[in-house]
Amino acid sequence: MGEKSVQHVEIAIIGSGPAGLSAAVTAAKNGVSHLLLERAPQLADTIFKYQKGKAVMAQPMHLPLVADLPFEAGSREAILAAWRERAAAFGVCLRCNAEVKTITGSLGAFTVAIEGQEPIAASRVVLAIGLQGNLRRLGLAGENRGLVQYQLDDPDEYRNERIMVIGAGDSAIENALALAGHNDVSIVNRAAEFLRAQPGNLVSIERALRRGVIRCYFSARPVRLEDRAVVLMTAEGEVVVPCDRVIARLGAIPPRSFVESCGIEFPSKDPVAVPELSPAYESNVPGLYIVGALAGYNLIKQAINQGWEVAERLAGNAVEPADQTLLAGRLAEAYPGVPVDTVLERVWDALPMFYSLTTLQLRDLMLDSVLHRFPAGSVVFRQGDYTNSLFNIIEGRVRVDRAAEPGGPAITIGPGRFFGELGLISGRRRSVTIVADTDVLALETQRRTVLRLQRSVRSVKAALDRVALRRMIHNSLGPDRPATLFEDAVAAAELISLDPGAPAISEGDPCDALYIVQRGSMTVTKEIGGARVSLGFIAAGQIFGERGLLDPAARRAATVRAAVAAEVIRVEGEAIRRLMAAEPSVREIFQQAVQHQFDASVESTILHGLPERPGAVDDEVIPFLVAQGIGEATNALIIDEALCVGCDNCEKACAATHGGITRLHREAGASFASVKVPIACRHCERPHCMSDCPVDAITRAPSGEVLIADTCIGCGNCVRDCPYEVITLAAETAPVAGPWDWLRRSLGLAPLHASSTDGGAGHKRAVKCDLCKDVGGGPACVRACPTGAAARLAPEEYLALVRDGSLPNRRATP
Amino acid sequence: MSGSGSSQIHRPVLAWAGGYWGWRAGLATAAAILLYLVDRPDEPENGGTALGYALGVAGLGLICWLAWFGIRKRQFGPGRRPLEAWLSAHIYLGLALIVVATLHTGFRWHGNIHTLAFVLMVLVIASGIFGLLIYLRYPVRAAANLGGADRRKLVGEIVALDLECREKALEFDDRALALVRAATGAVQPAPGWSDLVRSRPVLSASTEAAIAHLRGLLRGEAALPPDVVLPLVLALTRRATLVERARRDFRYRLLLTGWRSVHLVLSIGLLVALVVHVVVVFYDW
Repeated sequence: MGEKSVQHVEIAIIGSGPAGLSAAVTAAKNGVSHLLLERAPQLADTIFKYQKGKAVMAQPMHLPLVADLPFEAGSREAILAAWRERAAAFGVCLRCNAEVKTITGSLGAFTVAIEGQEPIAASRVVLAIGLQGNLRRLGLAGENRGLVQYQLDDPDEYRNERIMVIGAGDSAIENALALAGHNDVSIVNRAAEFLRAQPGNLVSIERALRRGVIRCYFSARPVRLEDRAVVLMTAEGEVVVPCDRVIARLGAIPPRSFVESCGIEFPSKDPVAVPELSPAYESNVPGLYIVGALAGYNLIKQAINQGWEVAERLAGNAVEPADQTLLAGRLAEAYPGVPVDTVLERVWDALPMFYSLTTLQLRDLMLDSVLHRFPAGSVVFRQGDYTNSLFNIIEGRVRVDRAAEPGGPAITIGPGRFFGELGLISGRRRSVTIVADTDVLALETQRRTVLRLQRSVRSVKAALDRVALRRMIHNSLGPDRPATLFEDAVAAAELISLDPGAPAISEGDPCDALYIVQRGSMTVTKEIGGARVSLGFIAAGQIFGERGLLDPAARRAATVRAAVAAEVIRVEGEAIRRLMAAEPSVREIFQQAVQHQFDASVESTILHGLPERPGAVDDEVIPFLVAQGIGEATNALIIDEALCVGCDNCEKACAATHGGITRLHREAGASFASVKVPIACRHCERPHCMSDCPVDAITRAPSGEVLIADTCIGCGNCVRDCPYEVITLAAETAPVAGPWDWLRRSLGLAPLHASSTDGGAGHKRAVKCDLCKDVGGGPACVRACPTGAAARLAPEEYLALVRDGSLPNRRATP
Repeated sequence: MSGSGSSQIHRPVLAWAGGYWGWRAGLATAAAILLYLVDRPDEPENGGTALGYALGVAGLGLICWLAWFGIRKRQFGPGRRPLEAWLSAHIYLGLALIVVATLHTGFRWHGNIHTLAFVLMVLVIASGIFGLLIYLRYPVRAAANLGGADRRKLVGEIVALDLECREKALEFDDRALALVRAATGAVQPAPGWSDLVRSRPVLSASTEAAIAHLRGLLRGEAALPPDVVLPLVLALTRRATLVERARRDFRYRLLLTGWRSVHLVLSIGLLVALVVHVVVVFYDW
């Protein structure tokens, strides 16, 4: 047998996803010899395996696409077709069904070994294999018999089947939800709850389980496969579940071992760690490059740009990174005439929070942030502003403006430190005014970016958590006192998450800690004479549990429960007692709070005891209102059912002033004791809808309304995230005019209802109540109510009116 | 961002602005009566005297303005006074109208086209008063009847109870099964217009029969223990009460929305008759 000559190429590209394909297209365009190796039978396997019809998004929006591979937001099918066409047009050398087993050698002489084929020699190698790895299998006998599949291509293909989805990650949840519309779906979760998925998917699956649309077997795993059934081992023993189909989404084994076998080093054992790369995407092995998801960039557009960049450089063209011009533009104002790389170095040196970012991550951050120069004396932000960005100081000092409360030491913040982080967490207004003490150069980063970094970069998370705790404790216990006083308490503090209804403290418990509500709201109840009496509610930013610390022998006098999902800071009692001993003003604060609560509790108990007294509120109404989101609302629509005649003029008014689509549903919506809370936006203090908007289209106006801007792309994240279901996706239709239109409709000369969600060539956007900001005159629903049943107001106002007897007695007597 | 004046939150429409329109309407009525009393016309009082014409014009203006409410109610743009203010004015001035119009007639009716206009007006106002009473009385009852429950869920619960009753009935004899079948399923008779005037006993005849039969099973030689029979009886009873709630809900909704159709039809009739009345008056002049 003669020796076959080994094929030699300049660049071997492994993986034909967006990064690899882009590199290959660029190489082909430059006439560089290359080979694009793809393990699967078709290119862009991961995207090929996306659910049929999945809408692929083109994030990040502001990043230009520099490569020759086209990419726009669109359906999976359109994108794949465009790529195939482009690959053919450029003459890309693609080899499918070629699984790379090992890569050995060094710069200029790599040997790429392919399963079942002759090895390839390459001068350089680009790894663009993404994170898919190998799909994990069930490992049960009979899994190849046809009952089990590991992929779901088209959810609509299956109808009226009993389908079991095994897995608890994003793919499993998405598949289960997509199938649930037409099938009887159950989902099997090895753990006791859903933890691993994206927040949006977590919300969706919990909602589906609550409504009974999907059945879930928790703490269960499959042990046997039968003909048309699966045997699960659950906490109660074996359960046989009949089903027609099993879809197992068990994740993939990340290709870490493969990558390491090529000589590439990972910085730590952490599974989410990415290999260290030079700014040119070269790994620690010279000549071996990594681009795309494996380099830490999950987004398609970034992958395409990176593939282009690497291939251009390998072709000998000096190119700037795709974001270079953009970055230069952003940095020019603050650092005129300074090259981009120098700026990045200076910023990096100055800001400890970002020390563990890689260069590429830092570039990303700078694209998302703004450098500001504040002259001495100028205001950075004011108390009461609804902005929520984080500021890192590169040069200069700022001070916390205490003009409203003079006296006490001035608090200044210097270079390397940050401020403004409270807005990230509880979404409340700025609690202080910040003024530049000297000329200041600061980096302002938007909330979304910081939160994203907080999840993925440890140094950011640690810095923010620590400071958040410290700030919260400092502000609650002694804003005028020096911060150092509270270090002891900060060290003794922890953050606790509570599900709705879970108690933070229970009546009768020992008083061993102080609590500060970081997010959400709490209800306070007490057993009096065998009946549970509601004593009020506690909003974010307030403290509770302090009463017990004043008296060492005390026991908790009431139960405090989370009304909605909440986070509280718990500070060990001993640390607080030490603090009280050292700092008398803290004891003062507690005692005042105690006095105030004492009075409020007496009042509540009287109200409870005399339901006939004007202003008496049924005990359950407050928890009801809080559960409906009134506790976190800033402006809610509350309907008095004793006056509401059901004419729906409020809905008609809303539709007429908003393009034919009502943002309010009167009849749907819970009611209790004659108080009805229809489905309409509550303009929450910490808007749930804001948390996951990819284009940051949801903002809060200076006057407090939560608004969705026209930049909305209709992805539906906010619809899913709102716990009160007040947002819908709808295409704007022709506005409905007044009475003459009604007359025409009554005579049949025009359609009876404006079609809102079906048909319509218009692009669907998220719509919700906007407090009639463009309409003028105040909320149309309130103005259109003939009987005065509808009122839109802040909850504190409403509760104050109830308490002081301005509103008629709630008790309905038939 | 507060509501339209905190004192106006959740106050009934009659109390709008502290009864502003009530005072105005009351003053207008008093003025009309006073004028009528001091007036000494040359002919017997009727619509043709000077005061008669004046009151007639006032009445015409009032009727046109009152009818305009139907248009105003459907105008949703900004820059107008709240609808509640309009309704408050509509109610009080509508009541004042009856005095003004009666004074206009001089208490003389001759059974002609003019009387028809008057009668229609009285009917319109009567239907309006009827509607006002309904608005005052029924929202509270409707809310208490549903008790915060979703209307659609109510129907769902009835259906679920039907199934439950029939399943439970399988354990009893054939006669029980047949009676339970008859007592569940379709709601007989279906809610309709007759419900407006007649109230039905909570337990229908077929439910009574089923319960009576089941009660009978507690006696005799093959007597069954109460805990076996009671769940089914209670399920049947609960179902009957839910049906009654649904029936009442239907009735309340019909009353709350239906009367407006009567009011509207009569108003259109009045407007037509009014036009004829005015034309005839000028024709006869």
